[in-house]
Amino acid sequence: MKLKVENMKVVFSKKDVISDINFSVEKGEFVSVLGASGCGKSTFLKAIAGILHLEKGNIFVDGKRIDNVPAHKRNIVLVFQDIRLFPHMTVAENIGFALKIKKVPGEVRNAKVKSLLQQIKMDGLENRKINQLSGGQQQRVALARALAAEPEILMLDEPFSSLDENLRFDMRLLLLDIHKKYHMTTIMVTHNKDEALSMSDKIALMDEGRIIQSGSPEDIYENPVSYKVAEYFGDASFFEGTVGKGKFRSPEFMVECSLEEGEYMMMVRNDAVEPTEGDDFEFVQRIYTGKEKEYIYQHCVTGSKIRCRNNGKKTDSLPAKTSFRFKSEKLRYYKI
Amino acid sequence: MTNKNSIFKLVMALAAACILIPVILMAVCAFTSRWQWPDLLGESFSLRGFEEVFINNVQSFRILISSVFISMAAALFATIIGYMSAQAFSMYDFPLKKWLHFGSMLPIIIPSSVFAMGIHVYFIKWGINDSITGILIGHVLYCLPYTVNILGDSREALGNKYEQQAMMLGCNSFMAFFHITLPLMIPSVISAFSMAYIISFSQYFITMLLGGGVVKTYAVFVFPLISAGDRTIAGAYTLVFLLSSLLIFILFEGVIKFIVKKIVSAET
Repeated sequence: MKLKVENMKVVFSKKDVISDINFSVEKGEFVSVLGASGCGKSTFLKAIAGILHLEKGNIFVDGKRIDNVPAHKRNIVLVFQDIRLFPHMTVAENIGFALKIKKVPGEVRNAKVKSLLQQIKMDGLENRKINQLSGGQQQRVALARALAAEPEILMLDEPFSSLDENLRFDMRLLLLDIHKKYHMTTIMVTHNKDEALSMSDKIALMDEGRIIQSGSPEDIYENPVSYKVAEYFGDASFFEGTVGKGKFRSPEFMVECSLEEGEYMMMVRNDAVEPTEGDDFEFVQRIYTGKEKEYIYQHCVTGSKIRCRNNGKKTDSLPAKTSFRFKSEKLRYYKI
Repeated sequence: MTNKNSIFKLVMALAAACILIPVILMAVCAFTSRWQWPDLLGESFSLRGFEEVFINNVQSFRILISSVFISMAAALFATIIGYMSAQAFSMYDFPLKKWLHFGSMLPIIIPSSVFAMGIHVYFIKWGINDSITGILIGHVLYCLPYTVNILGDSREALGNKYEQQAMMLGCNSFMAFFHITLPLMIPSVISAFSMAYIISFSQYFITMLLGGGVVKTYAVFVFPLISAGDRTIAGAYTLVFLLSSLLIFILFEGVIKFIVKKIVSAET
């Protein structure tokens, strides 16, 4: 195990920002720490990096305890959200900075900087000043600077948040290429669930300073352990009801299930919804994203909404009023 | 937009004129034999003023040199102490921080005569009155509010984000300061040093009182000569005063930038 965090607690102004986090990353894994703004993701990374003090807990890298080691000796590099390229240095000087601190000979350093510039496709821009670079270029230089330090663990705090959609895609590919090439243990903080799902070996979802679920992207998406996790990934409709005598009953649906009696929230993924005969729901709106079409229907009595993908069918095939059935294996229930 | 640009240029030209015209007049006075009212121009070209400064009054050159060193020392100490104070006030939280910050401004809030007489009493008790040490301490105390303010605003604006990034890349606090913070703070350091230098160099009353007439700086030496009424000599002394200060600023900026360039530039 490359990184292990035990019972981490971080306090700001007498308030628990991180509470009792246990977390581990295998060598070479790409892990995303996902969560809404303000849930403590960046604080978590800064605590691992050694910038913030731990109130409680331990951090281990390769089995050695590092929470009592100064930040500059941990060999963990954090690329901050605001990039923080040194404004008084050129591109080459920024990238070669860590090597200069390590007193790497000039020739070796220059060769390494040149190699990294080629990898980030910025050859010929060695002597550019930082304020002459675009946002995307700055992000690449920040990444190259981190790689030059040859860290044991690379951490990135929302690395693509300031980029437009096309640039985000290019940067994601670059990061994945680099991760594949160096097989570096990487932890990325993001609030973008699509990014996390598409890039990661493992996802840790945070909420209010705690990790509420950790696992592979498929596992978290298909089997969210709680209503909060399910709601975060969205792409689903939720209906409140009760379970009794082997059936889930809500004002909108009745579904067979084998749960103990009680109040439950039923989650149904948008791609698990199929129209069927009936007129319980009426059409509200169509959402076209370019990749697919989604249809929003509203229950005629309760007003609850349900979303349905057209699954390749033509627009005209979805009626103004319909009922729905589900693929039962895609339903999830959360006790409330 | 064109109107705003024109107004801005006009204001800048007026400000430049307010600064440059008196200096130009003083320079002209320094090179004339006599320039009496209501003459539009001086009587004739003359180096009488500079002969007085450099030949007839040899000690003025010696006093000028010693004053430069005293003021450079005062500016250096004031800048170093000012930087440390600015770092503390902008980067840390501690009890009575606001009061201490206010206290650092007191030398410019209270009248300079009250300030000077107050510390003079203690210097007499400690036996450092009428000495260079006493003058140096007095000048440093008087310059501190300026250096603390100038450096404090810049330090707060810079923050600690670049230092944190430097730590991530293997720098300890010391290395982060020399490689990152100091180069970025250079413009403010130069401003603070320049301000402290000119305040110290032109200090009259505090130097008079603390020096007791025994230790003379250039300002103390020149003041009676300037107020004697001879504009040619006054112009010459003033020009020497201005040019020596300008030379120090240029030298200091050059030295600092050279040192920083050495630290920052990659080894080949």
